[in-house]
Amino acid sequence: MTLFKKLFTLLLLVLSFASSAMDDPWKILDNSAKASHKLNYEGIFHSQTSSESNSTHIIHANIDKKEYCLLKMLDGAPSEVFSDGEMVYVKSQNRLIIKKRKNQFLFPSILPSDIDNLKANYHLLFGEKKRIADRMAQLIVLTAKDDFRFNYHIWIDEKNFLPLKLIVTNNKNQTIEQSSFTTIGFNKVFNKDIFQKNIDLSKLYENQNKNKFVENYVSNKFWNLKKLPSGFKEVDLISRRVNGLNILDYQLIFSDGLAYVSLFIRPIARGTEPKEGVVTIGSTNISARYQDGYQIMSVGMVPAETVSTFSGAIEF
Amino acid sequence: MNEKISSLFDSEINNKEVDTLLSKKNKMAGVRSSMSDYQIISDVMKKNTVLPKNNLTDKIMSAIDKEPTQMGGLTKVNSSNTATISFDMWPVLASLAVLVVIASTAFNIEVNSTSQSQLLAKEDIPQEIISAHHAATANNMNHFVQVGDSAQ
Amino acid sequence: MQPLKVVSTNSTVYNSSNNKLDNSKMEIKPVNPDRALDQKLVEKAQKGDKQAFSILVEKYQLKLYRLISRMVRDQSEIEDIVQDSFIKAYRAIGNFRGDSAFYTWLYRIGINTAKNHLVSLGKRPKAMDSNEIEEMENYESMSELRVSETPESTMMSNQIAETVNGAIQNLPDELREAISLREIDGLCYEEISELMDCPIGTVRSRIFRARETIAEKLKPLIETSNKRW
Repeated sequence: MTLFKKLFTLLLLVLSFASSAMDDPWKILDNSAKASHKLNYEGIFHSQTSSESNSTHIIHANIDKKEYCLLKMLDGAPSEVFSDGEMVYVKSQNRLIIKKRKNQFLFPSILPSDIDNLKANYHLLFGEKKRIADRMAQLIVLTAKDDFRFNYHIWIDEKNFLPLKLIVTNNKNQTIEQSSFTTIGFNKVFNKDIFQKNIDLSKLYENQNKNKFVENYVSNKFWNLKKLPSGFKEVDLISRRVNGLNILDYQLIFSDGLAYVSLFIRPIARGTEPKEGVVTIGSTNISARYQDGYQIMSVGMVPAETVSTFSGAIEF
Repeated sequence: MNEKISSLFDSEINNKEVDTLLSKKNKMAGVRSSMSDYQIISDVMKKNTVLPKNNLTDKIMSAIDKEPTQMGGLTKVNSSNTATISFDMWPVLASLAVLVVIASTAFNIEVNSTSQSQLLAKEDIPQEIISAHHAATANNMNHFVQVGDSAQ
Repeated sequence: MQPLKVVSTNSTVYNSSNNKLDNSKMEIKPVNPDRALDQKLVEKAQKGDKQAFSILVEKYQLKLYRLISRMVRDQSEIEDIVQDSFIKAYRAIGNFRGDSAFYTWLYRIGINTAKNHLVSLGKRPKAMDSNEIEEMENYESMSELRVSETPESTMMSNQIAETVNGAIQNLPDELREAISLREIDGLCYEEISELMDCPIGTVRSRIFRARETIAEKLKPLIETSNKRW
């Protein structure tokens, strides 16, 4: 075979690989979502928001088809978060709080299991490959198709698809939040005991989820929602008692798969002045609106226009 | 006129007739009084309990008269409540107007805000709202641990 | 919930949850006249016509009062809640876009205002299931009043009922028939004109004359009752 023929064959191989990759470029995100739940890994990642930065030690394992994750804060006050796939236990300063969390998208498990909704609302671009925590990673950029969400830059491990780095940028390309592994190792075998050594599950801890009255009450939705920003779907509804009174406030959670908005409907106390407007705290925008005795507030790491739209969508 | 009130009570009135009725401002008390009588007759005929209650319309409308007038989504303050402003104050007012426009743009204030609402400030936002949001949605553990700390 | 009353004529027929009934013999009118009038009044109120809003107040205050009386028993508290609800509705009228009927929107405000009132008194609002809320919103089914009545108010109610019924009995046949078809059978003017075989204008006039005749007899009693209640 001549050198020319060898080069031609190589070129065909490359093109064929590229073409299969381009058949459905979104497949890489699907693989990445699965990898973050299925793989065993241990490492340290660094997270930075507009107001602070911290390092976290993570051990993640899939044992007998059940997902376990232990996150330990390395900076500041000692604290741990343990998840067994259903419940989340937050241990901090000798207190343990148990939460049931429907959407456990803690880094690096940031991608939803259903990628289709992302296709409708984001453009997908392949960026440059880069070394992250001593591993080669492919940059995937999800840019918002409209003004209702930010842009997500995700570096995905070239070999096993785990997200190694995440940067969220706003429409001016300013970084809003980022997380990135500094060290990571795969395929270690973990024993269940290491996840539970600091948490005695036989003890009765404070459980934030026991509230039958609340569950019954939530079925009586007394509000209507007008048009919401494209792609945002209600993923959860939580209600809480207000200061021990027999009145509830409501937290509706919406997501497009990456961005999250909480919409709070809170009865306003007599004599309290309702608020209206939008403010930004760190990377979070908050919009407030008053209607019919209720203070409505939308909160999210999304553009101000998005939270305003959510607040304006409620009608009684 | 009175026949129109009866038709209005039955919602058997066209837009033009509504406009005519409402244009006679000085006769509105009579319109409401007739409607109130018709309501009692209707209740008796339907065997509904006739209410031992006061007619609240005058009381309600007197309170509403103190409210800013709705102007197609905007609100207009009643002229009786508006202070008279001399011409030499206009430069000051103009500056204020510019500030309001800038604030409106920066904070995205809705133009149809209710009259009694105050502009949202950072300190107005309850910490538990931010915490509850992060507890349910954050992908950054920093937020999550802080939520655990503040949840008690 | 009240049993469904079907009107076998050519108007739109609604059941108690306001769903259209399937009846192939009926010609369906596209617009509910009650809702169309409300929308017209709302639009005028949105443009600054407070008189238009006063018609809505007159039209719905009693129905709202009945609604609230299912949650709160004290008459003066109910009146305060009704007043608060209308003021809140007026403040928010600019946001009303007509996606729902005005009365549905108003009733939601009323229910929330009543709940907040109960909470401010340290009372627990009754948790309602969706059927109850639907029933409360369906004002036609709410003839029963649950407010505390005094012997005096009951006596006055009875006197009013006797006066109205006596006046109806003394009406000329065509006036009594017209107002009965309207108030008791719930027919629209067009339906009454077909049944009575007369023009709609005559129906309009007969109903008005019937009302005025009854109201004339009622007036001294209402004036007295306003002083006493």
